[in-house]
Formats: sequence, structure tokens, C-alpha cells
Amino acid sequence: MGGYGSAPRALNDSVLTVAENIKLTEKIFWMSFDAPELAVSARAGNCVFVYPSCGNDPMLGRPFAAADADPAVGRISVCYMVVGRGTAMLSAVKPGERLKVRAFTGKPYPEGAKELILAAGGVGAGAVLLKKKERGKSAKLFIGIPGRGYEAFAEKILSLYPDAQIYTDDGSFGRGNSMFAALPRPLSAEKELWCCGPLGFFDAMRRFYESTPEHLYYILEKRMACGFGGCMGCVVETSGGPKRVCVDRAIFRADEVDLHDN
Amino acid sequence: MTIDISAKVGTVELKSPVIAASGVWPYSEEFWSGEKLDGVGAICTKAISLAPRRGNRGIRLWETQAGVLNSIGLQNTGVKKFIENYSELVKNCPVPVIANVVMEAVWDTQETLRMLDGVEGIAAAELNISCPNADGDGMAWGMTCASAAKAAAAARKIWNRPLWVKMTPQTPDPAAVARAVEAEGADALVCSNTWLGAAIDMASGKPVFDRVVAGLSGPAVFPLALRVVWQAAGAVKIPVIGCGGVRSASDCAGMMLAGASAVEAGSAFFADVNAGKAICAGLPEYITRYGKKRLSDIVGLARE
Repeated sequence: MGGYGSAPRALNDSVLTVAENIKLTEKIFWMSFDAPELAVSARAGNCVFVYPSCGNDPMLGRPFAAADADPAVGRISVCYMVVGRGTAMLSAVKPGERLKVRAFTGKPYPEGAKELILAAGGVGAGAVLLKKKERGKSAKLFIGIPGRGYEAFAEKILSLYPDAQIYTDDGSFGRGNSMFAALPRPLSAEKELWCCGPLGFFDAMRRFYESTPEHLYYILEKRMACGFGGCMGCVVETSGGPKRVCVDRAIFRADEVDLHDN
Repeated sequence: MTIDISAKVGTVELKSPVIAASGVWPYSEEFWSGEKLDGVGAICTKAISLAPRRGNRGIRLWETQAGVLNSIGLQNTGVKKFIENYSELVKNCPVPVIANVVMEAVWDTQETLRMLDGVEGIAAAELNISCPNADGDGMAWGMTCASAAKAAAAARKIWNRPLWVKMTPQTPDPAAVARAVEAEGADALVCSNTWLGAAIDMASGKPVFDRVVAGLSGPAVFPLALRVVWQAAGAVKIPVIGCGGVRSASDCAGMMLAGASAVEAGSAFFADVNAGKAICAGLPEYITRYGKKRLSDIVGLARE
């Protein structure tokens, strides 16, 4: 592709049947679609646009990371939080209903270091779960959540990855009230940490790994309109120039982006 | 009965009337050949300026009722890199390519056009005198007859291929601006660019966009754009291209009945990557409804 830039191969819109839409917390849901072909081709880093409406309003799809893909049952899944009108509409969808989906956008993540630590705050888990599946035991999974009210969320993750380490802010369950007591230091070329979560979570990671930002990676989300690299709505400014989260990459070294100036 | 849905904008012939508007079509092989072009009559490039532009900081997109506000800020690599990176794509594209050129300072824009003149395969230049996102540039040029005419004349002096001028809907008198641009030798008018809007983030209580204002597009603006098409098409003899919220065959046919020779679709592709194909599939019904066999036969029919 060289200088042409990149747009995802085989991206297309289709109408898929919702297999499940499980409420995991007051605001976080797990939605699965019957999609045998996508379940086979999904890679960690891929993204799915889910459209709350097939009409004009709301017009845009909601971009979510592919959180799981199970070729055996022919399903792909996303984990989303209700933050506005569109996601509220999605939360009311019943299994068996059909939704328009744009897939796949998002460039697959790189392989990563020999030892990979995946750390997520809340719904950010959706961006790292499929990587955990791809890497198996060579990736450690740390999840931080508020605590009470997130029991079903934690159970969902543990049902997929029993070795996941869950931490709760209120200490009501899990392994303690902070993953930072257990996260290994220092990072190195053989031991990277990839994280996804709210801005405060990224900031805490940056402080915790202050001496090795080159081995700390942020997985970012941005508002998107097209998902195929056309609209430039999801651009992140990096030390290497502007990058589109939808097609260039969603993962950035901590020392190449300023999250407070993007 | 075979229904002909081809369209013509002056000397530019289109296999379908649906042109991908500037700012939505990515520079990638997948989108410049094959199935993604089904139903797409032509591609407008993203904005091209003389120097690179980094685009706007902060939030760039905000969804609204049946629409979307954008504040991208004409992000592009500049004309030199455009030529280096995309000349081959343009040359090999199976549909006409329209180079969307930012109206900057006169000399800058003329230089951009001079450089683009060497690119094989550009069917027309679309002069953006209307973009609301750049400080002191596009907005000002399209607002008055005098400045719009100056912009069109400056481009016409350099550019010998078809020259389309993309108007701003913010001008108080679209018909007068259309006449002024036609008088300076423009070959077609695009009516029109996005509508200035704004949004407040109700969580923070502050404006969403760093620049406060942003361009509104999407189905919400269709009736407004249709009105501009009606006014401009009634004022000039050169072709008019309808642009603004075109999402369906009905919208496309409506624009053409009002006098448009073709349409540009932008946000329609956000909602449906196959929007061009979908719009074209529905056009024969509207052509036969009025007893016609060719799409071109319904252009301006509502005015008769």
C-alpha cells in the first residue's frame, strides 16, 4: 500500500442478528452477534461499528473493539457502556433483533513482547480481551473495576479467562483494591504493558511506569464517523505525525502521544 | 425498459449521479477500485492546500439529531505530497476524480492548481470557497459576490480543465453569488458545503469544539440544501450539483427535479458504505414515475 495510507480490507456493512445483550453492570453490556465469517476472521485490534438505527437518526455507528470471537459457535462480541442516546438504544435491544454492523475496521494489534501485560479499567477491558485469547498464558490480564455492582462483569471476564486478576476500588471482591500493588516493574523490550481505560487510568499508568514509557502502550478510542479512514475524525497527534485510530492503529507508545493535547 | 441513470456535469460524464463528496473517501486501493465504487459516479478528493495542514485540535466530531457536526480543519498533506502519494491512484481510478482545492490566498491557490495541472486523470477542480473550518480562508471567500467572483477568477486564470465552485450556504444570497461565479467562468456550482453550527457539551457546560463552530451535515440539512439548489439553479445556466444530506434515491431525485445535474453524498457513506449503489438502485422508480427513460430528463422537471 505504501504511500496510499491504509483502509481496512474487506470492510463492509451487513445486518446481523443479536444473539445476546447481557447487562453486566448498571451501564455496561455484553452484546454478541451471530456472525460465523467474522468470528473466523476477527483479530485483536479489530473494531465493530454497531448502528442503533437503520434510519437517519441516530445516523452514525458506535465503534466498539471486538471483545471476543468464537468460531466454534460463530459469534463475535462487544462490550459497551451506555453513555448517550445511541448506546441507550442498544441497551434495549433484545436477542433475535437485527442490527446494522460495519466490520471490521481497526488495524489488528502487533504481536507484542514475549511477555505481555494487559491492563484495563472498566469497560476498557473490551479492547484487550481478544488479545488475551490470542496470546493465552503468555499474556497476563489485570482488570480494575469500582467493585459493588460489577460482580457480573467480573464473572463474565473470569468465565472467559479464569486466570484474570480482578481488582476493585472498594475492595469488595477480587484480589485487592489496586492492581498497582501487583503490576510488575520494570517493563522492558521483553515485557510490555498495554492498557485501556479512562484518562485517569492512563495517567496513573504513565506515572507508575515513569522510567520506561517506551514499553508502556495506550489503546485509545476516539469519536468516529466512517471507520474506513476517510473522515479524519479520529486522528491522534503523535511524535511521528497524525494517525487515524480507525485504520492506522489504536495502540500508541506512551512516549509518542500526549493524551492531554489530543 | 432500460433506464439510463448516467449523468453529465458539463463535459464530465458520470456513470451514476452520486459523487463522493470531499472529506469522506479514503485514499486506499480498496476504495479506488472494485466493488466499493459500485454506484459512485465520481470521487472528490479530500481538501488540498498548498502547504500541509495539521487540522483542528480537540474533538472533531459530534453527532446531532439526524446529522453530524465536524471540525476537521482541512487536514491534508499539502499538494506536493498529494501528487507524490496519490497520482497513481488518481490516474488509475475508473471513475472521474475531482480535486477539491482549498481557496486560500490567491497566489497559494493558483500555485496549488498549477501543480495539480500536471496530474493525469483529474477531471475537474472543485474550488472550496466555503469551508467553515479554517481561520479567515474559505468562509470569507464565498460570503459575498465580490469575493466569490475574485476566487473564481483567480482559479479560472490558471486552471483550464473544468472548474467547479463549491459554495457556502452561509451566504445571504446564494443566487447572486452563483451568478457572480458563473460570470467569472466557473463550469459548475456545488450547492453546498456544510452549515455552521455549534454544540455545548452538557457534561462540562462548555462548547464541544475548540473553535466553537463546526460544519453540520447529514439528513438534517437536506431541506436547506435543496433550497439553495433551487435558488442557484434558477439563477445560472451552468450545471448545479446538489450537496447536503443526500441519503436516498428520493433525496437524489428530489435534488435533480429541483435542477441539479448530479449530487454529492458525504455523510451517507458514514451510515452506509454502499450508499452510492443503494441510491442508484432506487433511481429508476423515480425516473419512470415521471414518464422518463433517462435521469437527465428529470433535471429541473419540478420547475416547469
